[in-house]
Amino acid sequence: MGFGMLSLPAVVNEMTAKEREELEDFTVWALVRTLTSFFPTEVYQEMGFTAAEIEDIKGLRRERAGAESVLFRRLFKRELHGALVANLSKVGLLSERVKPHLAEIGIRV
Amino acid sequence: MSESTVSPRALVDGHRIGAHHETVFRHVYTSDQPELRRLYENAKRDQWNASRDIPWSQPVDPNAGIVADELIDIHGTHYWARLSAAERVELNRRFAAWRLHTLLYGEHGAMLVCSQLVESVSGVDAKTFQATQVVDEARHAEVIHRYLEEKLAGLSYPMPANVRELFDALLGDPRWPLKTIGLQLVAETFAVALFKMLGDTAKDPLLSEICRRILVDESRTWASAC
Repeated sequence: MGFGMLSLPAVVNEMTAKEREELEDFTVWALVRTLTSFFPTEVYQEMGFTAAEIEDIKGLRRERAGAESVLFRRLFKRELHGALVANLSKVGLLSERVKPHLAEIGIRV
Repeated sequence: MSESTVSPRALVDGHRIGAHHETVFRHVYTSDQPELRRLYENAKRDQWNASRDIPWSQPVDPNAGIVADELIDIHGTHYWARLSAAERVELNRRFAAWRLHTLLYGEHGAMLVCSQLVESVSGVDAKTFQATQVVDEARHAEVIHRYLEEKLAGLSYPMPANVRELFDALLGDPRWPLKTIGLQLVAETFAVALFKMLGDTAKDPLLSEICRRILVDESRTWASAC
């Protein structure tokens, strides 16, 4: 982390508009993969849940993501999203192009 | 309950990624980035040994689960209500093993990306600091793997598709800024928040201790930079 925060701001600042857009697009792509794609399907299969039940559980998870009721899960999200926004801002990637994509995955800017 | 669905062959073989990036071999050794030099010095000072510094003899309570039940998606639903106490503990153990595997793959991937960054970045301080990052990530992978083997009976789960996609992209792209953003700004930021939550809420004190140790490494590099 330290290396990126110390080295990236100057590099991003010197990039051409095209280079910066490529980096922004990659950042959004990486965020979507990291924040929205984990689900322990194999665990539920091993515990005997049916395919239909697992799909239902995925739906429950999506509902819960919108209104997290467990305090420490709420804190986790707040801390994670706060750190992501602060770091993207610091390195110069929190652009007007990026912000709507963050909102789509539940990150408030 | 069925056994783990992982193919042993897939675990042994892993997968390969074509990579091409420029390696910078400078012949100047004078310090050029004092902040990175300080991070390098701090990293040397704070090394710990996963074999020696973790209380591995501490047993895990087989009836208590590993992580907080509230981390499991079905907690508080009718699916949870229909499970027996023993099934809840078993689900907890398997969920913990799955979650730790996602982190294990991430730490292993981080080690590989950091090793590429040692080659790709140019300054001597940047290179030496990245070298300590390789060691840090190797230790994190070591400690998580040992916990899985010794405390969770070697339960195995395959690399999630999203983790593979992300690290294949990072390892296959020649641009160090892209590798750094994907690894440090995205993957590590996520992992740090996850380790913190796991450490704060785990039922197993040994897992909490492991998370605490890993977070000490992470905070060492954050403190100077943020």
